[in-house]
Amino acid sequence: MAPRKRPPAPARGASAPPAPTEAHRPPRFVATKVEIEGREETKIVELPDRNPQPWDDAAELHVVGARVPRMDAVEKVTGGARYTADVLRPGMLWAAVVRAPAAAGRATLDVSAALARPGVRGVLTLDDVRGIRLDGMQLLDDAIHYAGQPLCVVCADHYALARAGAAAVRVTVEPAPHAVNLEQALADGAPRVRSRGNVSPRSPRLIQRGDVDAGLHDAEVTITREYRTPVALHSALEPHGAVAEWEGGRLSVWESTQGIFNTRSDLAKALGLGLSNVRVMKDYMGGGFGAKNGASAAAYLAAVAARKLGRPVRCAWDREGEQTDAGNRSATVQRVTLGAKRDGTLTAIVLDATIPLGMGGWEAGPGRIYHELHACPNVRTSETFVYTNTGPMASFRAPGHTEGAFGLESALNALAGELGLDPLELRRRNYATADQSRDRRYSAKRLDECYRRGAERFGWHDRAARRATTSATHVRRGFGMAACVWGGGGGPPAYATVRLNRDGTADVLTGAQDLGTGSRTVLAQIAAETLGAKLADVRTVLGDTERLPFASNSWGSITTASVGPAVRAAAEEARDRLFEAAAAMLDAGVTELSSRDGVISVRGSERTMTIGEACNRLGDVMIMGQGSRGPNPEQTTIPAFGAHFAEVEVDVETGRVRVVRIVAAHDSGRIINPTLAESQLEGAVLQGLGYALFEERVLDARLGLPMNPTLHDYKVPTMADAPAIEGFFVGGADTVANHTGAKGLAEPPIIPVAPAIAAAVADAIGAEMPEIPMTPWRVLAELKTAG
Amino acid sequence: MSPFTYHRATSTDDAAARLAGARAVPMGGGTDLLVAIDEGVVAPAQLVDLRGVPGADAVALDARGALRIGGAARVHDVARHPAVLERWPALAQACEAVGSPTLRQMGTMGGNLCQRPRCWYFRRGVSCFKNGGDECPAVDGENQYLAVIGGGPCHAVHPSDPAVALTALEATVEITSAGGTRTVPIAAFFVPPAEAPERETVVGPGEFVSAIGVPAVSAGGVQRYHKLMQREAWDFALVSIAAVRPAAGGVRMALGGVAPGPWRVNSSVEEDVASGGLDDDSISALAERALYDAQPLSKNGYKIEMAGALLRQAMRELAT
Repeated sequence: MAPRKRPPAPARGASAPPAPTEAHRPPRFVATKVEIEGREETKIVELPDRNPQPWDDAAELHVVGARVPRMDAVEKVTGGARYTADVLRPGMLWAAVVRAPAAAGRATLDVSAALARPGVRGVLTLDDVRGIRLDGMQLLDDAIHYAGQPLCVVCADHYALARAGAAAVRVTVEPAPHAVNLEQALADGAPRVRSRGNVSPRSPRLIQRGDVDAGLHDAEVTITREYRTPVALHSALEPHGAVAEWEGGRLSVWESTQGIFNTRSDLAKALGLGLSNVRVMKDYMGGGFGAKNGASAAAYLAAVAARKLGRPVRCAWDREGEQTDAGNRSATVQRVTLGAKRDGTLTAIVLDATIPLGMGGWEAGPGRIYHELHACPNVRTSETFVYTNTGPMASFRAPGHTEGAFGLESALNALAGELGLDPLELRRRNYATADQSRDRRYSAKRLDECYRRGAERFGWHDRAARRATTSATHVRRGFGMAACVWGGGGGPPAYATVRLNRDGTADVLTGAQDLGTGSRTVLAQIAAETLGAKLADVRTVLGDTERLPFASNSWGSITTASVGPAVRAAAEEARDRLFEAAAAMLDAGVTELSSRDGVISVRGSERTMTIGEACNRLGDVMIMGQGSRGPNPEQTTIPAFGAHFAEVEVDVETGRVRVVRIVAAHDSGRIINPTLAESQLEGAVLQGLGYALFEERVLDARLGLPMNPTLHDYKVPTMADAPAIEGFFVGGADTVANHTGAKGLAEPPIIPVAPAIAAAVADAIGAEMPEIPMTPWRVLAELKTAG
Repeated sequence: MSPFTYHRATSTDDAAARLAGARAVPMGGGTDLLVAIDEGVVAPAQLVDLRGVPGADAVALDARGALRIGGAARVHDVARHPAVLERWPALAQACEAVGSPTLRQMGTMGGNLCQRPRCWYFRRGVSCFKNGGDECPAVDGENQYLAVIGGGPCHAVHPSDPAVALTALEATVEITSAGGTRTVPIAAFFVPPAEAPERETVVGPGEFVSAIGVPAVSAGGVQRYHKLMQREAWDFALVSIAAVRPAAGGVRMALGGVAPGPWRVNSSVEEDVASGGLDDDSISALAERALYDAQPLSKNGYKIEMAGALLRQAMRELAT
């Protein structure tokens, strides 16, 4: 890269480093590693001018760490919050999607009756979107790859008219044989799901360290088990959807997305537009869980339809579309072998996994957690990814690790049983102190504290005494535990601007998004802390590619750790400028000033003024600060950890499982807002409980059709199913990770839920649970096997 | 979804006259009907809303102590009605077990009895006996929620909770049309699929459930309704049971979720339970006898075990 002439350094506050001279200036753009959804990527980062002092455990903080309520809670519960589906544009048309009624074959469409219906303004078919591909498939393809695949879109003056139009489209299917599950896809003579075959060209993916054969040879105890996990559906309350509007050659899109900039790139590329001619907006969001990481099919369809018909178009999936054609967590079959010494020391971990991906998606895979969670010199995982005639997978809260943890942690619990060891003690004896899979240090690891404090809170060591206390003779009580690891470091690039208005209120501007996690509140807390402002005076503005600086997708639990440091740096720069201005007003030196709760004070004096007074005196002089996220530490893995302890009651006559209590102890570095963080733990425990007990996409193998694509028949937990959840965080700031000390926490807490519950069920009934969800029929079947 | 008109009936006669029209369908809370229309399972030309008919939602005792529940009475109101709670608690418990608070607030008793089965194949428009087809795709498919007893050629189960309690309470159903009113015992209200697999009840075109009668002789004593679901709320029964030993004597038990309609337990079993003096072994033997005719499909055998557990539990409760 050619050296860029550096602009003259702007006036900076006291804490700004001296500007280096041209000759000794270190490289400004460097490479750094960022872990996203279990995958590590190398990113270029522009080294920030400003590197705030890390907030270590001794830092005196007032707003960061406070239990402040979610700042948009009132809007949400009163219906004032505007979601993508609430966007109404003048003259807007509504789209309804016609979907494939079979899993394979070729569709022929007759849209004439639809076009003749009242209010119908137009139809999109394959010819309108040729060349736009998602997950390797042509959008609106006439070749059917899975039931529920979009075939055409009818646009009308209102949604009811569009739906009536869609129902009037005549779809003729020339059927072809399908393969909707592993058995069908891997059978001799199976129909070809993708042209290159039914097994991913990159399979089997083999990852290994050490020598597992030697490890198994050295083992004194060996166990082998097979575990199965289901296809789980994200079931976000807000389905995928977008509103698109053109003004000349410029496109505006409102989309329910986890990544406005990714969506912008996807749309610009597909439509041949410059990035500056595409604006993507997203304000409130009703959940994504990993399935909304780029432009959705709905966004492409809305954009193309709006261009073709010359009016804004709203295209949103209905619930059936959401449950069949919006991504899913892949099913897995995991064959696990563990070798160990009598004292529990692991000598080998072997996984052979098969994963049906659907028509595509990325290959998350259950294997990686086998390499990361427990110390073992010899680990080998083999993962085979198989294509099936079902909707493509999409990232789903800790993709891969959640499936893998069910196998790994269940096997570890089985091994503990075999060895006669406490499952917690077995984990302590195999405690990994460094990242074995990448052979480097951890920024921090406090899983041992999660084990200790989680067990203490749960009463793990007194559980034998509680076992007999059940309500009826046919109800058995059981206890189980499991652990997790997940990348939590976040990283660059992420940018933020903080600007002060003349009344002293502050706007935090960053192109991140709040999926409902509370990012809006957390980023405002970081800015308020740094500025010394009142939190109520700080507002976070998110979700607009045209008006906000770049921040990456809200995925991989990275937002707080990525954007938080950028916000802090921006706020610090703004504060320093404010202090420069206020110093003259207060007749003091800049370094004598401090601010808290909206008041600037002079050290050792009674002189004060509010931030509002200072800004007001400045008039329309705008105090602004820019900040960016710096690189991650070199040769360092930045993880989050957790340990869950579950108590269940199982009715051995009916097979019903009731989860009574979950204690979830987590290490995610500094917690910016304990209330919101605990809310993430609770949500993840409930989502994990659904995965463990209820949730399972069911297809009829013969017909190739989804059977339960409704929120009644796909059973997510209700509030009545919620156990007592005691979620809490251990430890404190991880200052190696970044200068806020915070790490990711949204995904890790779903990882250990299912294996912890399964272990508790096994403990209760005396039979291992090899498959989730643990429906009554599966529990009864295992009880029978156990005799 | 085909277009339809909506009429809020002002009287029983008005409702009956409207329902005599072509493809007119009675509507209560619409919690099932509107979904079924949306799914394309039914395609009415006219909806006749019965909730505006004066007195149609009344729940009242008559002079002889029998209960009359208007067809448009809300499930929630029956669940919380003082006389129902006191004298027919099995019915109150069954109503309280329906769906969710919102569904109970919207749903009516007549609508609850007339809701269509939840069989996935029927609901998703796969050709089957219920929609004019000539095979049951569930037999070789996903039949985990379907009938283990009394099924064939259709194996769908009726989803109502109150119907199971009403069966144990030997209720009657009043059916009205432009031609007049008839009353049928609940045992004759549900039609076995061997007779007419395309429908579940004797309610024909032009007819609606105007009331449900619960006899005084079924009141009091020991009454229980137990419902096993996959999750704790907003779910249909995997298996349920209504078991009563009214103050006037006798034992009656009915199972839900196992058969095309509420499954009344064999009278010889009921008599043996009524005669009392049962130990654990005889209770188990009776439960097995009650399920003697059960023939599970490929994926629903667990329901027989669940039904056995509920029967044993109920017999123990009735014995004490």
